Amino acid sequence: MEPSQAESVLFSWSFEPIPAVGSILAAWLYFLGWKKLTRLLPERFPSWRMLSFFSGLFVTYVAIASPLDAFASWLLSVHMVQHLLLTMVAAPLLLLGAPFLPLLSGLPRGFAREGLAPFLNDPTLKKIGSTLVHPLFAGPLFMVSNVLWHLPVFYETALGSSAWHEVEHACFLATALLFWWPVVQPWPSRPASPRWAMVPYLLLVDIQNTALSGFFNFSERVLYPTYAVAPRITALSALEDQSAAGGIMWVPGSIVFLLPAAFIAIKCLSPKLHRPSAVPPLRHRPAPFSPSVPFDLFDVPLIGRLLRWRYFRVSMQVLLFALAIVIVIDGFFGPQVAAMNLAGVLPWTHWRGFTVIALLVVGNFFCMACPFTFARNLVRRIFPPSRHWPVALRSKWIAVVLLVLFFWAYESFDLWNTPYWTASLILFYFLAASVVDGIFRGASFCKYVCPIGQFHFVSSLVSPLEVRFKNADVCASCRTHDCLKGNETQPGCELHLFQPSKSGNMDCTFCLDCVKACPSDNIGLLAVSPGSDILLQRPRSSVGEYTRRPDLAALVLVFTFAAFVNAAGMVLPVLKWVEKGHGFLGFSTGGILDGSLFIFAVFLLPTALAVACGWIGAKLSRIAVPWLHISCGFSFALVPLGFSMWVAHFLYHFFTGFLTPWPVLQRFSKDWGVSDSSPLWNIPVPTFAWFPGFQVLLLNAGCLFTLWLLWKKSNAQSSSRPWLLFLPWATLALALYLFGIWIVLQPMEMRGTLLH
Amino acid sequence: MARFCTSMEIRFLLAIFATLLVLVLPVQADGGKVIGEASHEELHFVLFASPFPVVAGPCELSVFIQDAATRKPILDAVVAFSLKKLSAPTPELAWVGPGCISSGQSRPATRGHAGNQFLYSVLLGIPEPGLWELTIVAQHDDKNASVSFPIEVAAAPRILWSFWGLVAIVPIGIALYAWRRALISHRRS
Repeated sequence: MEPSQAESVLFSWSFEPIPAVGSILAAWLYFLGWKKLTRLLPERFPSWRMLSFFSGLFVTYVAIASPLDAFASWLLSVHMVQHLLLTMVAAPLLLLGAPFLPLLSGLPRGFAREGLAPFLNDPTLKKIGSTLVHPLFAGPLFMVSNVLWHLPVFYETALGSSAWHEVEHACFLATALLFWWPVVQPWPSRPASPRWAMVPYLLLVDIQNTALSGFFNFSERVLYPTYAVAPRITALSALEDQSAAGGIMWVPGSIVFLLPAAFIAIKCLSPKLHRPSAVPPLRHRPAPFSPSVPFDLFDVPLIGRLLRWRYFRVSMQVLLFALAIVIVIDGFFGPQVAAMNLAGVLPWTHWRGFTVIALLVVGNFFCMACPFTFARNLVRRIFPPSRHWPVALRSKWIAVVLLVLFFWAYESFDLWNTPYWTASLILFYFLAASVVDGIFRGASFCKYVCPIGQFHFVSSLVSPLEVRFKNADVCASCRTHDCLKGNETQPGCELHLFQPSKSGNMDCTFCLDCVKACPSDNIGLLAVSPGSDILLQRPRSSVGEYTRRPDLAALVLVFTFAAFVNAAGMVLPVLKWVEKGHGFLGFSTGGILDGSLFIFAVFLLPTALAVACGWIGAKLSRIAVPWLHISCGFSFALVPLGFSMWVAHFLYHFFTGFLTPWPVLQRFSKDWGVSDSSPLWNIPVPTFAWFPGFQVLLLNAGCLFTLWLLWKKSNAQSSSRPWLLFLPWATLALALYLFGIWIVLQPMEMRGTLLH
Repeated sequence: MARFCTSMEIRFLLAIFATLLVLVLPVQADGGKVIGEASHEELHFVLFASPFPVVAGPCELSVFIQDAATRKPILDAVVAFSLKKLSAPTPELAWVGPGCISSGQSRPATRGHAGNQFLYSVLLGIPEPGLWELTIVAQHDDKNASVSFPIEVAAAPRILWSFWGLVAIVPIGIALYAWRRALISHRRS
């Protein structure tokens, strides 16, 4: 083999994301658990156990992602090595790590106790587990799996389909783990048979292995047609390769069975070694469990310092402000083709994509870097606001109307496809923020007007981070309330959120003013369970109780239903139906008809459905709570589903149009004399075969989360008949979910690219 | 305390989801089945397709190129794939998606795409079922070799069937949660 060919073979690795992430996660959990256990039981968990477990993970990954896998469908001998690694090397190594307790201890304590313990403590499941690892079951199962998968019909199926190939590997690894369990007997499991029984157990399987390998060795024809037609990259013919595979199975395979058999036999026959080993005494007392401290983003090196930097927010705002100016200029003066204009690409594909990623992974970082409030602050230096926002308007109704109008304008005027309108919208936004906040004190625009802000507020209800106090005792002893009122050097919260009674991210712009104002450094960006605020039944600072806020419920419903309507508006069947509807009614374009339909779909229909679900649920479950409170409170549980649809939708545009800004920036630079290079418009549109699956997964997460929230809320309201309260809402959520699945599996317009 | 319990249950829910995700996500195909062999201009081509049988939609096509005389793998060629529909158009069965190729359009195939570095591969979105002609053009040592293979493309399965494993996550997740609750209430009673 020439050096270039050898190099190609050696570099034929594939990145298998799921096994890679799974292995890293398993290794991490094992390490966390092993660290705890080695303090308590150092004799049980010496370092070699950890090394063995990590080696098992490594061998598994090598088997499925190395050149062994790349050439498995060309050479049977290579495929055999791959299988032997999984069944005879990886499985015993993993079990030698005694992984059960370290993995369990490495999991979050609450999850292990609340989530897994009910299953692990169930007598029936325990019995099933004991049966699975019993030698009389595990041995025959291993042999049957080994023989069945080597029958040509099954082997060929696995070679012809990557999915079946994965199933085959999973079967090999799973049955091998069961088979090796009684041999290794990982602590703290107890043997189901005497130790000497492992000798005939191993010998019996070795006989089966020898018979199978003999079949490969002495067959006079190629057993698997795939190898007969596969390219020959070695000097071996297909038949010789098959014999080599048999040899590999026979010799190293037998050694792996015979060595432990011999070792156990010697151990059993030796009177000195046969003594049962006493459980080593504990050297240390178990350390008391300490309450877990929530993750604080400020504690992360570099990121924490950066976030605390005095000019961090303003730097981000200046950056986005400059970008907004460039977008406005290009929107007005650049070519009026969306995919060739910064105003057609950056706000609708990239800004929205980055925003939902930030909301999903951290929190409301766009409001933190909002360019509109930067302009507003500049205006306020000249015209300091003097009035308070009118009491009568202190609700979200204006914002709800504006949000509906924004979604309607987006569809009706094809904002994404009209750079001029996009630029006008941005300018109008600057103007509105400056005028509103130039007149009224606080962050009136953000709290009561800004539709984009409301979108982020609602989305951030399921974000994992929250601006929150660290220690309730410190807040209880505080008398100055700087987080709310501010002090000489730092303003307090402009949205009137008082930290001790604040909950969730509703109305929080992540401005971090409270963090800087707190003299006790008692506020952080803390990890919270996403959505936990939705279940809270008490008044929140400046927000109140969700059950008594129909305006907030309307906002949430618009947010949720608009996610589905907006996504449906870009799939081909819906566009065709709309076109047919126009023809049927004799309209050349939609206009008022489409507008009315849109407002019905994102506002009237969801309101009617929420009222109906609340009323039916309250009647059926016969609870004393007014149906309006049920409708308002339960509407919030739909947020995860709506957010998952927005993420699935925006990320589609983000990924398909990811490379589009590059030639647009080249064109902009050339137009304004910054650069001479001509834009290269022929950028590839990536093929994401996996993307619909990813979208389905997002919707699954949103649906399960929503159903769980609805169930918890139903239980909190009605202990006797929670099902009857749950049912109407669950039906609504499932209907939305199925509609979402249908949408993401339809052909979609590729907005933000030159291919529509 | 209520908040604490809530957080645990949310973690449990997320873990169910993550576990199921790990179980059902398919790993990207590499190579696949041999669907044809042909030689031209001293080069021998072996064509692979995954999935097999080929269906409308995303399909990974790979080619292994050898020197026809010595069977030595050729690793420094410039390779492009193009598809031309031979049978009548069937727009009613069209598949539309990112990376969808139109009839006659050419796409470069690279060795970096597949795990097996002997293969030149590309992921093509085949827009319609029917009979197609796949043409592979390879430039090597200042020579152009070109071979064509007829490919019968089946209609894409109903798209929901392609994702049944993922859609099943929701009922399985609900069932697991219900099972857990039943176990807890059984223990309490």
